Amino acid sequence: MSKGIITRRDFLKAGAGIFLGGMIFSGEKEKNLRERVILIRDKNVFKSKNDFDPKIVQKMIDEALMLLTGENDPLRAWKTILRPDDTVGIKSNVWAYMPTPKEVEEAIVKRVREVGVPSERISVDDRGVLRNKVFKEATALINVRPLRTHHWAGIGGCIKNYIMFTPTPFLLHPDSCAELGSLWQKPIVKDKTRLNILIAFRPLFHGIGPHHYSESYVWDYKGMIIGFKPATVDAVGVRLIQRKREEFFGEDKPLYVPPKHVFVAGTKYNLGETDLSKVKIEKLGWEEGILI
Amino acid sequence: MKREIFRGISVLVILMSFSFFQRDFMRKMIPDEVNGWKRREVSFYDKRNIFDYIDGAGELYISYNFRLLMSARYEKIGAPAIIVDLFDMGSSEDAFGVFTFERGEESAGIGQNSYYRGGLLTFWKSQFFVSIYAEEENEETKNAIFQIAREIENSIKEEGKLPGLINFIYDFVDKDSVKFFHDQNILNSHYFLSYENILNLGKDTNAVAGKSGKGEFVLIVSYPNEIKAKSAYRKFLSSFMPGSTKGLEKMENGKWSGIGIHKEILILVFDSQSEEECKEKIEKIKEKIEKEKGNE
Repeated sequence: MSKGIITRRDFLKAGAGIFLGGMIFSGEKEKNLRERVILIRDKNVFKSKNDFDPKIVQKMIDEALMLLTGENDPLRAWKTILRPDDTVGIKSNVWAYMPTPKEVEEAIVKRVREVGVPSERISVDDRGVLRNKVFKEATALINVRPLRTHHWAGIGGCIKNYIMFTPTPFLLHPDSCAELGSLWQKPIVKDKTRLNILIAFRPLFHGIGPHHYSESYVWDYKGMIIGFKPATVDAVGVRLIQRKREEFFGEDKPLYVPPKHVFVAGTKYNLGETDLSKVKIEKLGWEEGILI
Repeated sequence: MKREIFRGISVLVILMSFSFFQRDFMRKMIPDEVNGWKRREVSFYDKRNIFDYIDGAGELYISYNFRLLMSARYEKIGAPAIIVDLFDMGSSEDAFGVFTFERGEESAGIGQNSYYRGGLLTFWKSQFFVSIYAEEENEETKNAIFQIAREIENSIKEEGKLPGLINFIYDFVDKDSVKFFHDQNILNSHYFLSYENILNLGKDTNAVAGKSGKGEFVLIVSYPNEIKAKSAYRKFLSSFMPGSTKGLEKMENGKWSGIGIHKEILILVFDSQSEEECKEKIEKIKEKIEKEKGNE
């Protein structure tokens, strides 16, 4: 309201289509679309509760990337973002309740190899990235993790996934982890991320208790949000979680902690557009219950 | 110099003794076995290493000044694991406060207040906040959770007192909606006010908040002294209601917000239906504070 200070009143002023959790969304009408994000879903992606069909997973990633790059062949699409002489770190996530599915990791590794990158220059890691030789020498990163609410950052998405690139993650906790986007300026990361994949197979839309997890608050969405800009991909993830919360709770129930870091990553660190009225969300596959 | 070294060693020994006895005491609070679930590993965490256990969630407990966390895992063949997290919050006020972060409307009947949802039971008693969580919810795990909870509850002999500020707010909001906290992030998680700390909330402030049946959000903050309260009052006015002299203003959603001050205490009311209602609520809370303080 006063100069330089954003308060509740700024959100009230923005009117309909805003989300008080901390992100400004001024509606979905397409105008001057700056960025694209692919939302792909397949209703058959689950084989069982925690197993996924590897062929469908592969197809989902390939199709999304083909649409994103404008190529009509998976390998050609992957070759637009990677070269055979790249050293590739695949930043995964090992959170016990909701890790990056191995089928997704394997699908990515398969294509990276097919691009021509030898196995010794490919690594999948999360908590060990700072000690990992491949990550230390990486020329390219693929960022992949599941979508969930987060106790102190609002959501766990692509921006937050790079927290392991600092030896002191707790220093980024103040102000609901607002400065997470700063991680993307570190030399080990800067300008290396070629693709962001936010997995929404079974997102957590409401966390409870010290462990911030309950089977009661996940749902089978069977989707992935894929794009080049992490803040844009995360903004779509925030929207999805918010829509699910509205549907489940029957009211606009803001996240416990506003996902301010996504907004800050977009505006301060230039990591993507977070105003979804300026983003083209291209949808592929299963449409039932899409929410967005 | 020798005296300082001796004093330092003495403090260290006292702290280590406290930690040792406290861990031993907490270990004895939880059962070895319940309905076939056997207690496996027990681990302890303090402010230095809580992030190793619950990542960013540790900030919540740190904001409530927690001292020690004991975590225990219960396992039974063919059944989901049950995880018990027992927090020594150092004071009953903060145990109550951390409980209110996620409180529900109906008590589950354990401790001084409790809440069960989605396979998770949380309750507080004395200076302890307890979370018991089953990795998968079913009738069997629910029964075991409540049995573990009752054993822990029984091991805590005395009840703790509520924060004094609670008395100022109870008449004006739904009791089940009341939250107690210190920190700006916690306020924003209940009612987003600003990205900036426009009320100067922190370790040295106590705050209670709640919602009235009419949808008003009432916030009362106690500062260490009147100077700090006045400073926060001015900061709020300049950030949230620039140009306002009365501390009352119509918001962009057509509702009214206002702020009042009584010595070291700020009273804020948001989302009132009218100017009169907002003003009246602030005045009544002021009267209540005066009356309660007069009785002290």
